Amino acid sequence: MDFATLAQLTLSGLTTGCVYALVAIGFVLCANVSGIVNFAQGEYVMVGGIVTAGLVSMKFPLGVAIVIAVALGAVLGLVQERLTVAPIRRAPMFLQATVALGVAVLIRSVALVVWGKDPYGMPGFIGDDAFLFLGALLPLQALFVWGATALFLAVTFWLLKYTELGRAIRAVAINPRAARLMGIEIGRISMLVFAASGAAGALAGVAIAPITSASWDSGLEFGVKGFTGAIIGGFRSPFWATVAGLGIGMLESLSAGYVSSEAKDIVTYGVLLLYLMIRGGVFALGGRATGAADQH
Amino acid sequence: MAALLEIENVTAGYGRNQVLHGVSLAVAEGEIVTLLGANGAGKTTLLDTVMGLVRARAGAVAFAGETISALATAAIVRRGIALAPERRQLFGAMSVEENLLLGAYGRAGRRAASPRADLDAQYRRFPRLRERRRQLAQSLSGGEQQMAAIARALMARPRLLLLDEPSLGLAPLMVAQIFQCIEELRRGGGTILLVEQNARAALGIADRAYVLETGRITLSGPASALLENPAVQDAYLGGQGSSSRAMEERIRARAALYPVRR
Amino acid sequence: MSTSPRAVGRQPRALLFAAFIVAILLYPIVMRSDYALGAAITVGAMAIASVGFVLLIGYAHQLAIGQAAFCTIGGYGSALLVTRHGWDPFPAMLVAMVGAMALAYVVGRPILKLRGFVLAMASLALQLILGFLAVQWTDLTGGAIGIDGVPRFAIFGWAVGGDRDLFYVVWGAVALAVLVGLNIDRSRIGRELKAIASSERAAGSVGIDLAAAKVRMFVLSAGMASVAGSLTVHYLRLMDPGVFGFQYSLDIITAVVIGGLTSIWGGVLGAAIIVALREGLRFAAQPLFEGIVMGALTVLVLLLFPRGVAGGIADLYRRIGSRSEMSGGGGAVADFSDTASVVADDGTILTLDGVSRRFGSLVAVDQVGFTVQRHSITALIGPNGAGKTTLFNMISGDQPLDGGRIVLAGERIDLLPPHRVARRGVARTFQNLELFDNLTVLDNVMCGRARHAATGLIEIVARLPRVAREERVQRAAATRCLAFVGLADAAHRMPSALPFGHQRLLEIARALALEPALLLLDEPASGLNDSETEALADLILRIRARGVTVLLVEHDIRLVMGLADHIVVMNYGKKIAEGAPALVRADPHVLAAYLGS
Repeated sequence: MDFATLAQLTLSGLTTGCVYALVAIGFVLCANVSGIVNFAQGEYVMVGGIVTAGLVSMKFPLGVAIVIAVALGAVLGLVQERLTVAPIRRAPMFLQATVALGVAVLIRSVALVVWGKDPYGMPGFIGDDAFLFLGALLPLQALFVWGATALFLAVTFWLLKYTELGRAIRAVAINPRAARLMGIEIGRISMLVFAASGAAGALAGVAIAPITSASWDSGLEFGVKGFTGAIIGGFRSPFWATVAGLGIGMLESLSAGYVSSEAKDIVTYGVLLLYLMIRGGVFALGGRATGAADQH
Repeated sequence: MAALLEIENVTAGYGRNQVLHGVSLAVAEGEIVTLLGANGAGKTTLLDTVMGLVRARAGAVAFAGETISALATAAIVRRGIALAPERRQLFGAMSVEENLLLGAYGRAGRRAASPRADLDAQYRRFPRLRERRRQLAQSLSGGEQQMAAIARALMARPRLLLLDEPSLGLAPLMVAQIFQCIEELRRGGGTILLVEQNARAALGIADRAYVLETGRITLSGPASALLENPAVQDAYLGGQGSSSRAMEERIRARAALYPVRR
Repeated sequence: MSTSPRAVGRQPRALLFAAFIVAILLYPIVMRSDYALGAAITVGAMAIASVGFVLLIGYAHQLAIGQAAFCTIGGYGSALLVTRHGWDPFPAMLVAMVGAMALAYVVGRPILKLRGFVLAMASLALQLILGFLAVQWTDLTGGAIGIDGVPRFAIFGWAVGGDRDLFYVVWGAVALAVLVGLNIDRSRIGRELKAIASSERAAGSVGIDLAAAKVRMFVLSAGMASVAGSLTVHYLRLMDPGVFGFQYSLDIITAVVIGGLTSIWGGVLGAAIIVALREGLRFAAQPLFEGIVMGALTVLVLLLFPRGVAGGIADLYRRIGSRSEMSGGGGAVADFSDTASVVADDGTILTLDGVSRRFGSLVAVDQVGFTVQRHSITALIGPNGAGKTTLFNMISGDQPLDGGRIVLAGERIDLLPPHRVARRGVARTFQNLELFDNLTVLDNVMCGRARHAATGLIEIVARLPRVAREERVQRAAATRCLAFVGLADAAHRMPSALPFGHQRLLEIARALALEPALLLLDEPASGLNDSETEALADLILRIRARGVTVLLVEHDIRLVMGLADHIVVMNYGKKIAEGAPALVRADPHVLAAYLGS
């Protein structure tokens, strides 16, 4: 295979990988702060895309549509946290997880009613032309996807590493009890993280909508693929979640090119299953789990 | 003069286990009060109750005249109480400096000066921490971690400092250093409630002491008096007191009744 | 809020089932229309899958998002075997069921060893993959068009005549599924699942294999889902990728949530409610709103009524009536036998050799070695933070080793997980008490008999007489253990109702139910007053007299000095002294460690 095709596949894979990375970060942040796998993560991407595409088709200015879509994502995350996460923090984990699933179903069902079954396309932010890069022909929109992702990542990592708030978020992820002793209010941190994850997902959806078009059920795929990135990245650090998410995007794209375009759809799901089975299987000889609590 | 911290008849616990039963205790400004007790006696539960991590089922906790029993932990920290918890509980994957900065998160007057000044003060007090300030907290030795935990609590500018078993797992030399540091804190005007199993060291620096047994205060008084007390000696100082020997003898006598089936 | 299934008395349960059978028999006679029969068949199929799902989510506490994958296997399995290979529908259904269960086992066995909600997504991935294959593998499945011309269902030559006959077949299968579920609920397996839900640590410590318990329910639920798929296909007379899509998985989840995930009946109720809702919405010309209603209901029910409709009914019943749980088993204080089977020739039962454990840069246990003699009472003492509890946890399997070995009567146990260590004859208690709050005192102790269980899932499901016999034997053994510690009267109370001292005794009774060769007691006197401490000493002596070796971690010097034959002293992770009490008490290192210098 020649370099140009490789570049083509890799770079377009990188583009969808950006979405998966943002979803994966959302999963990791929410899980580290609240303990649950937020199954609604993928739906935020769908919301971002479909709201923007819908508003644009109603002749709203692009900038306004984008702002509304991202804000809506943040609000949804916030509302989800306040109404369905905070009240049942002490409930068994499987219950919390099922509630999160219910929220995801609710969001996509509302989207179905409001926007209907058909996918919404929309033009690229600065048009639908393509550009040449390293031999690959990519839509101009890809620049926005990369840009938005890079911007979000930069802001997130800077925030986590250098600000008081970021330290507080990391502290809650490491040891919630000790964090409370510092005067950190877990509820507020949790709200913030969910809102940020919602916004991140929506932003990703906004950026990718011109390329993949948005429909009421597109959240499912984004959710599973983002989750795969998060779990291969270890579900602990946003950095590795990003790397894994990008990797999944590229793997998908390469499979489409080198195997078949149908394979693309399920290669990620297969990777997820195999990864989990191998991770569990390594301990098949019944070894010991490293204890989480360290007691002397 | 009303005490800075007043715990009145508190009954508290976790879920089904009511660990504390009608505990009363007071700490006046400027003194070191120590709370002794065996494992399972409820010492940590008491500190958790003061900090609002556990809600008292009955009784009240008052700080500087204000009832704080119903307040959230963040509000209590803002009012000037800080806890260095049992086993340090530092944020291991974060650096020493980040840990200290987190200590300043909830401090009183936090919209005021940046925590830099507080940070420097702690580094002056614990020069070893300045050396290690960029290292991950989990890579520090036990003694250094304890210093970091105390420094982190002090970053909150507390009026009352709660210390939960600072001597836990530390070498005797380290224990001496830590206790010296605690004494210095009191000399500087601090008020300290010290929970400890190492009775000798604790009674050595405390003004007053309480003994907690199965959730109830069984003894209290000036530290010097408790040092002389034979019951305390028995239980905590490895003494050869009559009551402890007596139980031991009784148990040994029973052993004869139950020969091993071979 | 308890989300564990709770027991209801025996007579009402039998009555309820009988009423259910009667309702099934009468339904087609009362409701004659094709529509009513068709709807009932749809409900029935979903009910079978839902009952299986209750076992998975309500009992094993595992959420699976793609459960309909197994319905797909049942559907295609039956369709293919019958139309392409001329099989009879009944054996085809069974073969598909076995296939689905095998797939569930292969996927579930490794995945359920992991913590967290990985099964949820893995199950969804599985469904998406199967859906993809169904569309793409046109040669096998007929692609998007699917397979049609599936004949009516038949059992060994007797073909189903019309919808009414199929109704009876489907609801017969529902009744069977419910029976299986009920049998599991009141069995050892049901008890162990509830134990796992309450405390995985304690469950492991009495020999319950956590992963295996979860896998069993996953496999069983897959089988039931497959049967649902097969029967649906014989009703629709066709199979295509759209029959069991993602929506069907969601429907099952919603059905179980609304119906009540803590009850087997919840699966049946939920299926009925879901189908009724859907039909109602269709009737009101608002089919698009189905998703919103389902999603909103899932969230609201879980937030506000987590036990669902069935749970609500059960609570109501309990409030009106009274429980008729029968107490069984003899209360006589007979022997409980010891198992002296795990003792080496030289009289040592446990050997530690160079055992180490590190947490980051902190060395918690540093090259510790000692032996424990059979029938001795050995105490492990040392100041707080000395590493005693970590060492204990390494013996019981809760912590891995970073160096060294632990040998129990000639065989290494340091690589074994807790439940395997328990099965070798090592029982333990926990410093902070890990009781099964959702089970009665007697049931707590019966969990300790896990090691002695001989009957498995199949026998339990089939309700063979030997299952009831074994339960009686275990109940008697458990009752003896309770009597031994003095708690015989508390057998039917809940652990939370007991005073703290008695809760400690309960944990010891549960450990004794294992019939261990070695008993590890983790600070058993913690929180006890003087008289309780002396009573505890007495109990430990009686336990030793029965032939059980005791190793305890303890802070109470009086207890240690009075009881122990042999003492091991630790400080800063190292062993600093070892020997008879008199020796240790005079050792200058020990004095320094405790008193400081």
